[in-house]
Amino acid sequence: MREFWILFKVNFINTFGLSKLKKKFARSGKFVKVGVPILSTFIALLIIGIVFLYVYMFSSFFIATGQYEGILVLAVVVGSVFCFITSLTKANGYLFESKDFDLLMSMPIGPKAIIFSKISNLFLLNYLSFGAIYIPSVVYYAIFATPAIWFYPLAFLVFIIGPFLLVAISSILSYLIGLILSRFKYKNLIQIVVFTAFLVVMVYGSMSINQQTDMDPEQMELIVQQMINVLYKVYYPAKWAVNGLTGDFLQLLIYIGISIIPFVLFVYIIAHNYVKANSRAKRSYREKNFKLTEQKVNGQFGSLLKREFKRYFSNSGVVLNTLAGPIMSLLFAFMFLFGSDTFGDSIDKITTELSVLIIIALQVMMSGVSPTTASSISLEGKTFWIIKSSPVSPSKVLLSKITMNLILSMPAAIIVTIATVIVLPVGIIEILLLIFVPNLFLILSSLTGMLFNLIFPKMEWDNPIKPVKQGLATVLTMIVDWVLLTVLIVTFVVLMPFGLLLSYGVIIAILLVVSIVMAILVFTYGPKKFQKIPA
Amino acid sequence: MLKITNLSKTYDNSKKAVDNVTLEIPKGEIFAFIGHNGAGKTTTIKCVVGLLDFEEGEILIDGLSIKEDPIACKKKIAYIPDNPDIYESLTGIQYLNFIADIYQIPKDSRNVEIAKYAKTFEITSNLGDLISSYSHGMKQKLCIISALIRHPKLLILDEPFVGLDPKAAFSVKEIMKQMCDEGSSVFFSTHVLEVAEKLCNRVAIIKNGAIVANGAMEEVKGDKSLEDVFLELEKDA
Repeated sequence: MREFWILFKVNFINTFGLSKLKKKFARSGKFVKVGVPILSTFIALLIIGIVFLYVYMFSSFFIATGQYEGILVLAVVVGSVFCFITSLTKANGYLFESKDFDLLMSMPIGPKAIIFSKISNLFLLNYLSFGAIYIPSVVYYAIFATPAIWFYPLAFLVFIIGPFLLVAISSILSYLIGLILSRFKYKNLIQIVVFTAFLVVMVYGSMSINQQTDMDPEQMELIVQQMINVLYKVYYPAKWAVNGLTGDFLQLLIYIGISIIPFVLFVYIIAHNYVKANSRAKRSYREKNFKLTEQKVNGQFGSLLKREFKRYFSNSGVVLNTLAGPIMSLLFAFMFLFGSDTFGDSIDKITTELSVLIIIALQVMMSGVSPTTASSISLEGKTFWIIKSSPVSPSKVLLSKITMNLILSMPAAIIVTIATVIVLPVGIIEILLLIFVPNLFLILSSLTGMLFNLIFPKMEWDNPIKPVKQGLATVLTMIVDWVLLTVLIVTFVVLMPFGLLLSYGVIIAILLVVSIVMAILVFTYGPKKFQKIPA
Repeated sequence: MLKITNLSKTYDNSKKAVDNVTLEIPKGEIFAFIGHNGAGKTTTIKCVVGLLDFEEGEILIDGLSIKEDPIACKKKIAYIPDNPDIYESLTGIQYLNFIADIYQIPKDSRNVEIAKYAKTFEITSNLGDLISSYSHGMKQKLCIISALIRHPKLLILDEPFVGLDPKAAFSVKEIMKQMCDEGSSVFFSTHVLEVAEKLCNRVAIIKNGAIVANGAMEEVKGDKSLEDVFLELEKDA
């Protein structure tokens, strides 16, 4: 037990970077010492508020029909899905590919203590994912269904038990997926395709559920019951949990048993195969029968661009976080244009001009706010020395990063433009608008991301996802892009009474001018900043 | 080939990591740079190869300033860091081709050089594997190959023998000598004083950011061993 606590403490400090944070905080001035806790509390409250709002939105079907049990079903099923996804993406890294494996195994500590310490950290993340849905749902259930007092300890018990089965299943799955994919050269590409398909199905599914709100109120009760059945199909053990919470204690015992027993078995099996599992999981792709043949020659820029793509697609987490925007914009635009069911026949009710504006807004909002350039310098990390010691101009390096971002994001804009031209009776002005506005915005956001990343690089990280999700450059780029988007919308609204042509013209002119200014900044001030970043 | 004059470098307003360093490495010589951990060796090397900006002093490579004309300087240098952090998502051959493209090495020459050095360091069959599957030593070998295929005028190595097997370490030493015979220069930092003593024409000892001994190997060590000289200088602190 003592060993477990020592490992748990070290793992916890290391995973959340507490020592570094403490040191940084101690060194910082009074403003930061007072401001950071206030800002953190504000952000935390904001997030909690948004989560409660979302959960209420989804629970409203059940509240409206008085089928409060549905709130609990939603809580356990959706919470479990979140939990499952968290474990699936994290388990392999936490349990089987941990960087401290060699160090820990060389110490006089049993594998069980190591596994428990690793799993405990995984559980912490899982409770956050599970709790994000479960806790607000239970609060709403308590408010609307006013259950008996025994409900509360049982609800707490279900919360504690919730992640056990999911951690066991998803850890095994995560290990097996990692093991299978390690045999493929393009394992990350396969991961990206699978996750993207999953994302598309999820979005399409949620849009399809939303359309049911147009139904006759008398049919609502039936539909809600159907929804509960569908949710149970997603995660059947939730039925035992919900029945247990509503009074069937035998079913609650089944839920506890079905969660705990596989977990104990999982720990037992892993403890006995920990060394083997770790060495198998750490295998990388190896080319059998490699023969050195004649090499191909590329120009400097071509080679830099190729390098950008190879490195970008080498981490599925980075890709999904930055490419989700263009994919979603494509998806939403297609659903708007072709799937009139999901938008409640909206396209037939509004004018072509407004449809075009909606499509442009969808593209700009989704694909323009997360450019890869905002983290591309940071992603060089410890390998930055290679490019910095090479005889290649910083401008060329920056251009290769911007080009990659545009190659990734522009096709979605072009495809949407073509689809819009086919579906809607658009004129030449709308076509020009569809071509210029999204593409200019993409160029501008790419340049903005580049500039912010040069000013605020985050070169030290242990996981490439950190500069993408936690980098200051990413946050600032998003804020600036949203501000610019608001300016454009306000400009459009103000100028619309003077004619569409004028408002379109002014928007394009603003985008052009700001893009040119930003390009000048990136290619004059940028290389100087590039040289100052230590490698 | 390399002339460092009054180089000073400070990190984040703390004390000077490198303090008024002056060194000169003539053509065709192997120069050892030794010092305790944190003495300022890596900082000096990083300033020379253009990885770190510096406040005071001048660094000339074959007569060109690294500050004024960094690209021309970098074309003449090949640098191998103490830790071979290279692109793990590329295969060995992809990495070598990337470096060859950046240094604009012609097709014929790159085919011959890659094959030659891959054979010397016995990693030909591993070139198709992802670098993430390489051991520390294999990554180090790949870094060395990527440096040698450029035929640099100045080879700069930071702790080059760490992680190399004895055969590879021997090959590196032989290649260093051969390069110097052909007119190139080698500047490397090391803690292996026996190697420095046997291999190098010149040596500099750095302590707390400042040079405390510098000159021809025979002059610096006199009739003592390099280890004795180094330990005496360390004791004088």
